[in-house]
Amino acid sequence: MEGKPRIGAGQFFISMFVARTAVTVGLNARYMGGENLLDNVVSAFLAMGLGVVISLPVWFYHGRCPDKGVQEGGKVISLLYVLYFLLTGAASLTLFYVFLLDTVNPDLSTPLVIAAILGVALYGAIRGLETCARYGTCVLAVLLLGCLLVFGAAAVRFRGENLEPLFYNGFSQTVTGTALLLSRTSLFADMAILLPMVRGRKKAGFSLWAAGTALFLSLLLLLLAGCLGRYAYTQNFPVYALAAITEIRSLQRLDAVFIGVWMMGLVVKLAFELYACRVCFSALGLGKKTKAPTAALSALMLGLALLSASLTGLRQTLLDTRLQLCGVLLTGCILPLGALAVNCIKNRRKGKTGS
Amino acid sequence: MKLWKKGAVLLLAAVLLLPMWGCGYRELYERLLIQGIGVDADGEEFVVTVRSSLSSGEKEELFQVRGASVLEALESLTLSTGRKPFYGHNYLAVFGRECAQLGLDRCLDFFVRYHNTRPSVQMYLAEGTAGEILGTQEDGTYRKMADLQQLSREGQEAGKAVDAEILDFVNGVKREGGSPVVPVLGLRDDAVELVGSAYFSGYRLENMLTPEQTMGYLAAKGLLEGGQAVVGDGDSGVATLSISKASRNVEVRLRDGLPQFHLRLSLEADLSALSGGRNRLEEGVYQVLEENLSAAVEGKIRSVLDQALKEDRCDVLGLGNLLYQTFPGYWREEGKNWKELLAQCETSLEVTAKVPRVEQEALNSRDP
Repeated sequence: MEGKPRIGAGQFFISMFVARTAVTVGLNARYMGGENLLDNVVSAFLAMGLGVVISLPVWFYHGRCPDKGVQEGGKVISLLYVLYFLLTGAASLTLFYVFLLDTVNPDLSTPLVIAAILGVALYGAIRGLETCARYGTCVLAVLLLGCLLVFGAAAVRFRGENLEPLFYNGFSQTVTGTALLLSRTSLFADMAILLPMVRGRKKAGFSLWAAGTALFLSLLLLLLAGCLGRYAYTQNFPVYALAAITEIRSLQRLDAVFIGVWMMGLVVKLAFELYACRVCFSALGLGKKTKAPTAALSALMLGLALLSASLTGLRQTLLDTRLQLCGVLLTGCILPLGALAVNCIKNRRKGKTGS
Repeated sequence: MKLWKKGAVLLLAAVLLLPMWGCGYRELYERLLIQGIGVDADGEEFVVTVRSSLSSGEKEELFQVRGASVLEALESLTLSTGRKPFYGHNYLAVFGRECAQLGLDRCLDFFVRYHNTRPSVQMYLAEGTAGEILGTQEDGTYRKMADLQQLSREGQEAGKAVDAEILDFVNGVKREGGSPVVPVLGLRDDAVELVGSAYFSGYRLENMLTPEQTMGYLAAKGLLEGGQAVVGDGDSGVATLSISKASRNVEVRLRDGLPQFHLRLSLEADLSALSGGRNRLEEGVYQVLEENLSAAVEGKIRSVLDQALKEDRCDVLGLGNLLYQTFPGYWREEGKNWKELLAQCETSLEVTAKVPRVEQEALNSRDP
C-alpha cells in the first residue's frame, strides 16, 4: 500500500449511505418477515438504534488508536475481515444476479453484467480510496435525483386503504426486519478498517448516516406499503415494481432509473469493500503488493456469485440473514471489542513495565 | 501507467465489449409488440386474443391462439408469426365473462409474475368474450389499444365507470374482506363501449353494476371526480347538474358486537342546463335541486349497498378493510365471518349537495 490516503468524513459516510441504499433496494416482504411492510418502518428505526450500539466498540477503539485500524490487531483478524468482505460482496452480487435473472430479462448476458460491475469496483479499489470516495459522492447526486423522481411520481399512487395496522401479527416481522436491515450493513466493518483514513467530523457524519439511512428506509417502506399494498408481497423485488408503475405523462417505466441506481450503488459498495481488503492484505504482511491479491479476491467473489445462481444451497447460505448478521456482529462489534481489550492489556503492561 | 499495462487495459476493454455488440439479439421487427391481451376460457384451455403492432407502428394485427395456460398460448404465437412476443408495451388485459365466472386465479398470475409485464396494465372484463372486444373493427380498422386503455380513465372522470389496473385487482382480492371491481366492456351497435362495472368474490365474478350504480359506487368509495345528474326542479322541468367536487368520509363504530358504518358524502355541482327555456331560477329552486341531487346520489349508493353488500355479500366499498384498520382486535376475532357479518351491518348514509348560486347572483345584479 502507498502512503496512508485520507478522505473527508462527509465523503466516507455519503459513500456508505449510497452502499447501504444499493443493498436496501433488493429487499422484499419474504426477507422482511411478513406482509405488513409498515412494521418494518419501525425496524428501520430499531436498526438505527442498534447500529449505534454495535458501532460503539469501533468508536472506542478508534478513540484509543486513531491511526490504527482494527485489522492491525493480528493476522487472524485481518483474515476474518477479508473473509467477511468476500462473503458480503458475493451476497450483494448474488442478490443483483437473482434480480437480473428473475425480474429484468433472463435473455440478458447476466454474468457479463456482474463481471463488469465487479471490474469497475476493482478498478476503483486499485486506484485508491479517494477515487472510490469521489465516485460515491457523484453517485449520491444521481441517487437523490433518481429517488426524488421515482418517489415523487409514486407518491401519487399512495392509498390509505393499503396501510395495515401496526403489529397486527405481533412483533416477529419487526424483529426479522431489524435483523435483515442490520445484516445487510457492512458499514461497521468498513469503519473498523477505514476510519483511520477518514478525517473531519466523523461522529457527526455517522449520526447523519444513521438518521439518513433510517429516514430513507422508512420512506421507501411507507411508499411500498401505501402504493403497492399487498401486491408487494407477490413480487420478489417490490422496489422495482414500484419504479415500474411510476409514470410522469409520457415518461413511463422508471425501472431503468432503479436498475441504474442499484448498479452504481453496488459499485460503490464493492469498491470500498475491496479497498478495505487491500488494507487487510497490507496488514497481513504483503506491504505494497496488494493489487494482485485484491484482483484474485474479486475473481473469487465473482465465482461465488456466479456459482450461487446455479447452486441453491450456496445462494441460500450467502443470503441467509442469520449468517450475515453473525458476520456483522463479528466484524463490527466482537473483533473491535477484542482488539480494544488487547490494546488495553498491552497499555497496562507497558504502564507497569514503565513504572 | 506502463505501456504494457495500457495495452492490457485496452485489450480487456475490447474483450468486454465484444459480447455487448448485440448481434445475437433480436431486431425490433423480429419482435411481436403486444399491445393488448384478451383471455377467454374454453373448457380446460384458454383462448388468447392478441393485438400487436408492427415496429413501424402503421398497422395493428390480431392473432388468436390456444393453450393450457396464457403464457403457453402466447409463446405459441412464435410458431405462426416467426416473431418473439414482447409484453413491455402491453396496454391492457381483457378477460372474458366465462373466464371470470370460472375464476381469474387460473390465468391472472401471468400478468403478476411474468417479467416484462407491468402491474399498471389496464384491466377490463368483457360482457361477452374478450376476443370479440379486441377483434371488433370500426370502419375497417381495429380500434387503437391506447384508446381502449383510456376508456376507463375517462369513464371514471365522467362518473360512469371504474378505472382498474392489475395492481388494483390483486389488492382488491388480497385486502381484508375486499371485493375487487373492474370496468366492463361490451358491444353496442358493433362498437366497443363501457357498459358498467363488475365485482368479484375473490377471483370469481359475482355480479355487475349498471353505469348508474357505478356512479353510486364511485361516490361511496370516494372516487367520484365528475359526472352529470339530471334532477327535477320541483316543478315540471329538469336541470342538468355537473358534479364538480365530491368528498367522502366513512366512520366505523362497534355497537352490541356489530360494526356500524356511517358514510358522509358532500357534493358540489354546477347548474349546466335547464329545461323549459328559463334563464333564471328562484332561490327556493336551488334548494330543491340540492335536495334532489342528494336523493339521487343516495339512491344510487343505496342500490349498490343493497345489491352488492346485502344480497351478494361482496364488500365492494372496502368496509371490512376499514374495520380491520380501525379495530384490528375485533377483526382478528370476527374477520373470518365477514361475509355473514356484512349482511347484518348497519350502514347509514348522509349525503349533502351544494349548487353554487353564482348564475343567479349574476342575473340578479343585471336586474334594474
